[in-house]
Amino acid sequence: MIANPKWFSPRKYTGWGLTPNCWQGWAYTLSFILLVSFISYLPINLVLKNIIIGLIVSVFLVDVFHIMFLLQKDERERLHEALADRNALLFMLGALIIYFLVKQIFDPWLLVALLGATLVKALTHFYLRDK
Amino acid sequence: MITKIKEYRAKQNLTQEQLAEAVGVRRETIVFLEQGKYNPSLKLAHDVAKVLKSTIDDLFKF
Repeated sequence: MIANPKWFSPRKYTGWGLTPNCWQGWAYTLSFILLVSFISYLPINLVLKNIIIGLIVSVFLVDVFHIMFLLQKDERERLHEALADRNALLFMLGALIIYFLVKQIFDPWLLVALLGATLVKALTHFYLRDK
Repeated sequence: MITKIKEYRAKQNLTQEQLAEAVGVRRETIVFLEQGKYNPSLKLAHDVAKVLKSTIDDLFKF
């Protein structure tokens, strides 16, 4: 892990992810943006450029997910986050169902998403039951 | 729920930040507790009572 979880706070009102809460967090975020921007302007082979940028973005995303997983939340924050995420999920499901009822287009990826989410929910319950 | 956390915190000369750090929660959670807007777990209620040298019964009134 590159960044320190203490440099970030979880997003609450603007979607999911992290928000820097100190200068270190902002420096880390801006460094990533500047690095990718710099590489994108380098006079090198486009394929190589995309590979390098892809690697940097991948490392950054892995770091971000790692931080999100490690972020310390107290019991109230965990409860509020669970309730907010549940409501967001219900809204998304409702919107998807309405979309497909109106459009009457079957997208197999929707089935993958729904089955995958069902599996994740079941596994989470199994994990929590035995924890 | 009515709490006397603020009153007991003042007796112990603790800020919200200090109390939060002592019981392992964020300051915002202490704010919610003092306003009676959050029902803590038994463990958190116990930890708060311990830090404030009080009892759960004295601190929380339902």
